Amino acid sequence: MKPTTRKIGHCSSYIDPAIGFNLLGKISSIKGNVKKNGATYPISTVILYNRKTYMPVCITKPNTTGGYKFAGISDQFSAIVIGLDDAMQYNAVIQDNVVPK
Amino acid sequence: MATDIDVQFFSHLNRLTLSNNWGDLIRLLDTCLVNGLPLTSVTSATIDAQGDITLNLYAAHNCLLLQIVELSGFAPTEINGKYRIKGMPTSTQLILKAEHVGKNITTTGAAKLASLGYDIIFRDIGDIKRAYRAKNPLAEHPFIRVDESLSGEGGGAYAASYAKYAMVGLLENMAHIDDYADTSKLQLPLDTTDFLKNWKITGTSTAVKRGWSRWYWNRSSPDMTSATNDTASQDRTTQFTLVGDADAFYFHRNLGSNTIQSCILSGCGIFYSSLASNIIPPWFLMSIISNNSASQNAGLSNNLGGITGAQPMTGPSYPACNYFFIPKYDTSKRISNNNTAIGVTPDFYSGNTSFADASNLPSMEIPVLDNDRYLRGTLKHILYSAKNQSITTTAPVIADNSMYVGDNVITHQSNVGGFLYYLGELE
Repeated sequence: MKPTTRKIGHCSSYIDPAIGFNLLGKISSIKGNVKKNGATYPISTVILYNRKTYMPVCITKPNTTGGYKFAGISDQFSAIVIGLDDAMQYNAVIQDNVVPK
Repeated sequence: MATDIDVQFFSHLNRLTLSNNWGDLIRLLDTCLVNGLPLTSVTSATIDAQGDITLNLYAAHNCLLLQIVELSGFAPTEINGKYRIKGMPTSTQLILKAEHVGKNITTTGAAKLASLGYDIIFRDIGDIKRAYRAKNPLAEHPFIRVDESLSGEGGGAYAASYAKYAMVGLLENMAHIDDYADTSKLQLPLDTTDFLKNWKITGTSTAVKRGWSRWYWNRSSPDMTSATNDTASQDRTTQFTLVGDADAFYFHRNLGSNTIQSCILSGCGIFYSSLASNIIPPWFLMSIISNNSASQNAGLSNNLGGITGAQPMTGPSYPACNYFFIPKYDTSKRISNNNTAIGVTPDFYSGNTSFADASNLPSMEIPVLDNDRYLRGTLKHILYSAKNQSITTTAPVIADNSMYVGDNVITHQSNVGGFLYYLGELE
């Protein structure tokens, strides 16, 4: 007899789930790479803010090659993306008015 | 990762109708299961920088996000195929998730909402019966017989003005549309003392008994719990979701009330089996099982009058209401009376519970436990919703790249909950 599964469905960890579930526009994503002095830098934290409310929407960490992605977002959403150096040696990096694609 | 394009859904929001007319259910199943729903003509199609396809249509498409669109007749030919809808900028424009970077569409073809992937194996001359089966079936895929007859087998007559329901059952093999009397062929549901039980109509006038496993889509009472009967049928505010693939599908529709948040759930097909399935097939059937006459007063959801299965997985006070039906797991006696099963869920309030309501979109698969206490496997696609999602109608939802659709269902008596269905990953 094979095990009977009771898998749990994936759900986003968005602090404001409405951003993820808002399907009014095109389903899009924000992705990028964290770099320090031109080299990939995974020792960081990336925070997505809602440009209209200035409220945080999601917090993530880059993968081992510095890449990050916020998926399942409407292209109607305007964001501010902040990258923090977890080693606290460099200032934060900010990208304003990032539109999901 | 390629987009998952197997699990499709349809809704009244696509302008498909399910009204108080005989034939409506069969024609809806023909569209959803077999033919798909053609969209209005494509006036132009382009590929954007990301490789997605933008379709411009002649008139409103009435599509929903995350539905699967199937293209045909396009050139170059690699454009033809199935895609998820990822955007709807206007009522006549669709953006399809694709990976065609750098290509150009030279010829536009036709678009339709793809079917779930079934064939019509048999139909009758009167166009009131169907036998559907998965395309490219495995041995375990059942023949799904749907019968809207009002007379015929059994010699009785059921008035056209009575409650609208089809007689629905699964058979392991069929040689013609009325091939259900063969005692060597497994059926679901099955009473081995009467292989015709699910398909015969006996008696006349209000004493008529019609079928056994019943997929209602219109009935007289807007209340699931009041004792009412089948001698009238009242048009509802049409609302439904039909979701699944060639293995299994589920069918929500607002039978319980004229208010829209009052769907009941039916479904059928195969589940993920934990046990060997070469002797006893892993079929399930969610249906209202009743042997009542048309005038016998009964409440669908309170087990009055012996009705079972009206609220699969969501009827705590009257356990027979939350049953669904599966073949009995007896490998030494394959042709046995069917068994009942329950879904193993944390409570009976899917979509109307606080079980895991800190999560954004908590859901979990539903194992199948039969009445002999065999843990049989796990239902496909359908998920227990571990939070009150306030789902009122067909609702596509995305969580990162994971795609779901939900619809409401009456949970405990008249409370409104819902189920979620996993559609796969967008990328």
